Formats: sequence, C-alpha cells, structure tokens
Amino acid sequence: MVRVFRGENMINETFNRLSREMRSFNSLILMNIAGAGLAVARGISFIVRNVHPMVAARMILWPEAIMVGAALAGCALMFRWLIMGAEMMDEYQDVREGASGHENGAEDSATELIVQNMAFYRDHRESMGSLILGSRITGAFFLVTAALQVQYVVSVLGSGSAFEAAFVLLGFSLILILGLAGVYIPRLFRRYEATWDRRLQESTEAEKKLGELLEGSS
Amino acid sequence: MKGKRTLYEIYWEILTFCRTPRTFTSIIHRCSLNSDIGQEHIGFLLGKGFLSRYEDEGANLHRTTDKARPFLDSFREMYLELYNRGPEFKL
Repeated sequence: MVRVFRGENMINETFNRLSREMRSFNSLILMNIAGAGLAVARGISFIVRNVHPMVAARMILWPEAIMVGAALAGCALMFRWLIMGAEMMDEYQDVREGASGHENGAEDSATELIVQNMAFYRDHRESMGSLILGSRITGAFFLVTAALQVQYVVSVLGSGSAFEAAFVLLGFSLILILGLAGVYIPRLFRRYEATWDRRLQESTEAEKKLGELLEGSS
Repeated sequence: MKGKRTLYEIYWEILTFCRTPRTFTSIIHRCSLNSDIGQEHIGFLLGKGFLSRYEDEGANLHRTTDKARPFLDSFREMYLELYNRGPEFKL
C-alpha cells in the first residue's frame, strides 16, 4: 500500500514514531552504559579482594596474581565498552537535539530527523557490533560466576544468619541480573540493527529513483 | 548535520537549507562539508539549475530554484515512506 504523506495526522504519527524510537534507543544505550559500569565496578571489587591477601602476606600469591591479571584485562575491555557506549550516547544526543524544529516545516523536519538517524546508524554500525560482543562476553562471564556461586548461596541460606543470607542473596541477584542483561541487551541491539538495515536497503532503492530523476532534469 | 550521508542526502540538505538565501560558508558549515567537497556539490546543483547564485550587498548568495522542487518532493516522500513502512523499533 502506498501512503501519501501530506496529511497533518500522518506527519504527527511520523514524529511520534521517531520520538518513540529515539527514546527507546537512548534507553538501550543507557542500559548498556549501566551494565558496563556495574561490570567495571564488580571487576574492581574482585581485584581489590584478591590483591588484599598478597598485601597482607607481602609476597606474590600466584593463584591470586593470575586471577588479578585476568580481571585487569577484563576490566580494560569493559572500560573500553563503557567509553564506547558513552561516546555513542553523546553523539546520539546531537541527533535528538536536532529534533527541535525546522524553519521549512514539519515534513522537512521529519525528513531531516530520518536522514540524521540514518547517518548515525551508518556511522555506528561497526561500534554496535563491538557493544554486542562486549555485552555478550560480560553476560556470559556473570552467568558463569552466578552458576559457580549457587552452591555457596544455598549453603549460606541453609546455615547462615538472616543478615548474611540477605547480603549473599543481594550479591547473587546483582550478578544474575548483570548476566541476564548481558544476554538480553545484544538482542535489542540486533532488533535496532534489523530495523535500520531494512531502511538503509530501501533507501538504496530510493537513491536509484532519485538518480534517474536527477539525470532526467538536465 | 554530521555522519555518513549519501550524495542525495547531502543534495537534499543543501537544497532545503538554501530555501532561504545562504552564503557558501554558511552552507558548508551547516552541512558539515569541507570547502572542496562543498564547492563540488554546490557546483553540481548550480549546473543542474537547482540552485541559483546572485550577489546581494556584496555577498554571494545561493538560493534553491523551483526546478529543484520535484527532487525535494520525491526525496521527502520516499524517505517518509520508507521510514513509516515496516515494524518500529521498541524496547
């Protein structure tokens, strides 16, 4: 069905759609940043906990040293993930702020927003792949960590004090949430990619028609 | 506007911006183009008759002509159509 975009209602619907999509994508980047931030915090707490015995013993304890090394490498990757998310959010803010009116009218304003979102997507397509990878690795790491802690959590719930049980449960829940978020966020990014890939593909077809129009106008 | 844009998106942007007469500097600034690329695109649009150049109080101004209207209308309708077609991205 071919719709003609002349009516005010249609343009309002386009603006509403753009607004919802931009809000959703902004929330997705925020979720990603929050996940990365929590992952970095968790990594740092792990490093501190494992460095402490070495400081107390005043010697290098190899099992702890190896774990600290691995955690440092993981933290560096997660920090990169965090920075990438923050940069993406900063640039997306420019797109969102560009939504503030257009001197040539509502239709041009909506078209400009579409073009800006397309340009943003073309620019960040590859970084999204890195964010997805970072999110998946972190999610897998936290899910494995949660699985390894199940036995300990069950033992504390069975024999520890109520305060200890609540404390352990809180930590376990945080790890589980981070793991699940790490698995879920890439699915949302994939959905965003699928939506914009289709639009980019259709814009390539539109370009052919525009090219013909330009050639015919000379 | 920043980011990777196609040639037609840049043409559309220049032509929309020049509905009000603009100087070369303001066009390349608004459309985030360097001087050489800006010159090339504006030259192409002038050649097509989509832009006209005239002097006003010592300033060289560019203005979109009526000849550009079919291109602008088609571009807008195609982009609005492709955006509205298909599923929306939601969390």
